[in-house]
Amino acid sequence: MPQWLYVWSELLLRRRRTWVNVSLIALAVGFFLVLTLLSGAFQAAFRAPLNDVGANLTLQRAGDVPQEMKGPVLPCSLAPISGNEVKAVKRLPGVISLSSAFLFWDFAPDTFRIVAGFDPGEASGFALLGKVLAQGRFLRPGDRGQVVLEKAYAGERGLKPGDRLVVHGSNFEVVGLVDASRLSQLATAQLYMPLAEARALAAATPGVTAVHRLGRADVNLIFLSVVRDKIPQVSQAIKALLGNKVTVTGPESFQRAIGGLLAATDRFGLVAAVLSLLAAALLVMRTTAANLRERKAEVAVMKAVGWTRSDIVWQLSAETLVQTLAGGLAGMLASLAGAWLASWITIPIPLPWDLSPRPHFLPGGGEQLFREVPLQPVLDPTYFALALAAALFLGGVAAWMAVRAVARLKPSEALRHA
Amino acid sequence: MPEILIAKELRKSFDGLEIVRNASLQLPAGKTVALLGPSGSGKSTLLSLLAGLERPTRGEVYLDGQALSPLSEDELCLLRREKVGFVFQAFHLIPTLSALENVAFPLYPTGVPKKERQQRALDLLQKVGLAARKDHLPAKLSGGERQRVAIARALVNRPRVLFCDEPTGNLDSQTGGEILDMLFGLNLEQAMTLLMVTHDQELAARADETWFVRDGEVSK
Repeated sequence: MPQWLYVWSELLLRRRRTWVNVSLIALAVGFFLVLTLLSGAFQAAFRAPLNDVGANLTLQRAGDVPQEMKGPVLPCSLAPISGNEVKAVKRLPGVISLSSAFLFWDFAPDTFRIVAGFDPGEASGFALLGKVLAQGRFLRPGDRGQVVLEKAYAGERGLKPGDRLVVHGSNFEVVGLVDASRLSQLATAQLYMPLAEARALAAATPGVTAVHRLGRADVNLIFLSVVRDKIPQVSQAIKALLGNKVTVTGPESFQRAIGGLLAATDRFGLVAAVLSLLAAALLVMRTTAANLRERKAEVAVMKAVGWTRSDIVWQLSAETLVQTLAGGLAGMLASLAGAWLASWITIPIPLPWDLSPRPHFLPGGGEQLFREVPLQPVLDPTYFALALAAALFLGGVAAWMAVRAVARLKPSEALRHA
Repeated sequence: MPEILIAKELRKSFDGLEIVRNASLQLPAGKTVALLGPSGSGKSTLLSLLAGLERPTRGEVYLDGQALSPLSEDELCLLRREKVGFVFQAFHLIPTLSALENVAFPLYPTGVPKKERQQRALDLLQKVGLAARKDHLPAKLSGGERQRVAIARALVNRPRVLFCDEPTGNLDSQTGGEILDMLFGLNLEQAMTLLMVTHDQELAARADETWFVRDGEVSK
């Protein structure tokens, strides 16, 4: 068993050496944790735009460009997907739930608007806009002839719940206003109505039928909730099922879009964390070697006065263990501070145009849309257990060196040259 | 008087160079022996061989009847813990421990209860006249005081043989004289066997026997 009085006196009276060792371990553990926490936070940020709409994949199909920008038309990124294809996607292994929508551009004589049709009873997609109701009520399953407007659009036109609105010859009652900017800028519209009515409006329009053959159960935007670790397989299966023109958007799409340093930080975070640990291991080995050189005579005296090899190794290991735990704890506290600081950072995630299509020729139509996502490092106990294991690994490196050095040390030589 | 230490045809070579040549010795218990010789003659190596700190190339050492060469490193440590004390020229105190803890240091791994080992250490510090400085770190002690702490440390395990490697080499003559008085006093009081490596003729004159080491060969 180690002699704790000796351990404390060594650590407290050789402050510089203790400080260097504890700092190195704290630095490595802190760096490892911060990088891991940041990596997790980035992953969560990349998922955030889709999480807002209760999904982790969206599905669209590219089609032809409208012949004329007049009345309802389908954006080229939102060609119809048949009801049978929707059923086939729903059956794919890994798909938890699916909700579909029909979105079109409406070039009315006096205005342009994006109209989205959806089923208010769905668990994802536009149905979640009910969470950001600003005024009136949200659409309910079975509603007919009722619409909900985007608050900003309604404000520009002086519309409010109870007013009536004509969309391509059909009369609708405004029942509520929503503020989609509070939820997500993904696949937003100005006017939201029941799915069947949106599809019927589009199907009765030459601007749509001239380009697409629209079936009764067709949709053009699908929100999918998929088992997280099956996202790549489901994406592949959808592409195989619906052909090359299909666009599947997932968290990695946002990661690709963000590019640059942030994506690199996320991608290489684990590598950097492991490299930092290795660098710390090398530094700990270096300081341990220096420490053992410095204490050669002391270890020789221990052997000379009757301390066995295991007595000495226990003693040196106890010193290392205390430093390791202190360094690990300090690194964890530093990483908590780092996580708190990181939670103040917001990153702009560019939204693919396909998911929020706006005519390029309209003011602001070609501008890149961003979703501002605050970084939210998740303090996962697994990371901390890993960090502790990393600290113990560093301590183990030092203890292993001590064991080797003690075994090799000849007291007579060490004392003669001391 | 039984022999506490016997060496038979002891040889030690380093890199082909023979440092100790065919040394055969017998040291009766309770005697004091001075090991004299010029620098580099092999005195310290012989001391290390006799104390089990170094293994001979050939020959055998018997300490209190026990042959040393069959023993493992750890068994040698345990033997030293029970039967041997060391006093070094450079003191070799643990710089981060107080005088009291330095004296108790050999007892740390022995299982002697803390209270008892502290009492034993304090008794020895009193004996060497340093009880008042028990809480001082070695850096706060003079050379003579450090050597007295080192002597107390060498005695704490109640050894049969005390090996001293130039115990007064780093001290002025007056302090050296006091240290020698203390060592010879211990020999008289406790019948403790003393084997001292030295250059000091005066010290040698006070010893029961003097062994001369020249070019690795030992003669009386």
